[in-house]
Amino acid sequence: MSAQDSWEQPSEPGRPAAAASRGSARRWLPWVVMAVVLAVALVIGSGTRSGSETVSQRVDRIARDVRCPSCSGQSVAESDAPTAVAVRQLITDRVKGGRSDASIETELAHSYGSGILLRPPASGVAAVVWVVPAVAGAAGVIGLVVVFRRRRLGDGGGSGVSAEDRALVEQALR
Amino acid sequence: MTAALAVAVVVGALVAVLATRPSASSTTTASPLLGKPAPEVSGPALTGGPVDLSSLRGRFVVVNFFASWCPPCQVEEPELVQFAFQHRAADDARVLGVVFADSSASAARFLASTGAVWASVADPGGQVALAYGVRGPPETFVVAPDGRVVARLLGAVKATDLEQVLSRARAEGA
Repeated sequence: MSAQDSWEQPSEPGRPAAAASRGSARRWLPWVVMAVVLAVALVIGSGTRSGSETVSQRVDRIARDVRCPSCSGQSVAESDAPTAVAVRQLITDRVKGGRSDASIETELAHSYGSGILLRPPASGVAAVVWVVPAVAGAAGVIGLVVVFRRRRLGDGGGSGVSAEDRALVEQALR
Repeated sequence: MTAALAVAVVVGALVAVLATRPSASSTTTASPLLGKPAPEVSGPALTGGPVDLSSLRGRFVVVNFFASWCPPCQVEEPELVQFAFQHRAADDARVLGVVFADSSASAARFLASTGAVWASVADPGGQVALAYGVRGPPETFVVAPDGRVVARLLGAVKATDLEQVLSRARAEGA
């Protein structure tokens, strides 16, 4: 059995491989936890639009995304101004009438313009506010991957162990 | 010396701009409804009898959202009276009032005190105001004889402002 073989299949089975495995697991654990938390948050977040939503909950949700026409910086959910009350009533009537969220928002935008919506539409020029964060996020992830890969390659060709260290270990195992 | 001359030129230009701009008692402004069919206004008039915007086709209609508690509405009311009087003989333009967030009794008293003789309708749920995209009184929309909205004016209107709107609309083929 060569020295190289003894490194890859150690005479004391399990110890170096297990240590490396534990180190690798430790390194990836925070990322795995973060991914799980993100997935759970997305599931919970998307669950608010489930079919179990009541009329009142749906009206409140839509109202939070509609600007009060006669107030400054408030949604119709937050204001008791006459126009806000009228908009909430319109939303309630349309929800009870089985209209979709998009259809209700389109009706309000038909009278007041798209500025009535606090959540920008995902089309036209306003779509930039959705696209820019997505592109920035993707660029960030790609940047992190590149940086981590370069760092790992710089540490010893991807194995994480220098030739000198390898020689020392081989010597100790003889 | 040069600096003083520059300041004098800037101040002079500012004064010229402020002195020559049109009266700002009302402002013609953008609306998603411009060029589109006017939303329906119908119901019992405060003074009795039915009111229906579509039945007034063939003449200009000045749809005026007002309230008795609104000071600019009190300012513009004599101007609307004058406008209505000027067009009474030719019957080429009418005023149609819509009560905004006010009781019918208060609005009727207010109209009677100012000599307004045109029909006005109540808008209890504010749904007519919503259809027009009204943010607060006074707001005025000019509807062309073919039923399209040709102008939206914010603030207290003057009879001369309305005449200018009518002249412009006629020049554009309304």
